[in-house]
Amino acid sequence: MPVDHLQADVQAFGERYARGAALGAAGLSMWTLITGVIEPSPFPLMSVAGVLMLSHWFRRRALADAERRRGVLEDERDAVFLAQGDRAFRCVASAWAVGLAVALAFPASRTLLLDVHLRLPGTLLLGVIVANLAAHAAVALAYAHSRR
Amino acid sequence: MTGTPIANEIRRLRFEHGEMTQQALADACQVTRQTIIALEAERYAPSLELAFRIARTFRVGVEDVFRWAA
Repeated sequence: MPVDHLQADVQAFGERYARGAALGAAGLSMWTLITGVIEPSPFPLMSVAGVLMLSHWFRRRALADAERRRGVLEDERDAVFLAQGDRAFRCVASAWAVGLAVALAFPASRTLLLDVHLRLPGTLLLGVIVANLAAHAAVALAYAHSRR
Repeated sequence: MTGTPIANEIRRLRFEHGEMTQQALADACQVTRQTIIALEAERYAPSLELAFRIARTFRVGVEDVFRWAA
């Protein structure tokens, strides 16, 4: 019997990427909190938006590079994990939007959000990054859970 | 994702097919080795397409590889 089944704890590309991306999203959310919500300024906000737009391309590029070196790295099982991440993204993004809507409905929190120029766009952007963080964390957790 | 009512004979069939490695089976079925590991541990239920690919690799019927074990 081949012994390779003993090495059952091999980390998949998707798991390694999700862990790295979750750490990156955590760092980006801290940066956005400071430069987009606490003291909003246009250029850091634009850079964050740029990084967000490119994030999908980052994954595709990393996967293509890894596949060139090592062959097939993702299949239907990885698609299941990615779908769990998509669900987490939708849940957190929806909750953030609802929270923001509620905050805008009350004068005190509305003043807090609208008094400073660019704070509201920064808060929206922060929500997208937090949703990304939740998605990557959900994918990493799903992989870890499946190895138990 | 943990636990599935579908049991399988993949490990035995690999052994009977010249001690085929998990990687060789993964390559033949165009999936990752992690998926073969999860299948053998019965932590993942494959799609119908993958079930047929595996059965075809071993030149047996799907029901010779997979069975309902619940």
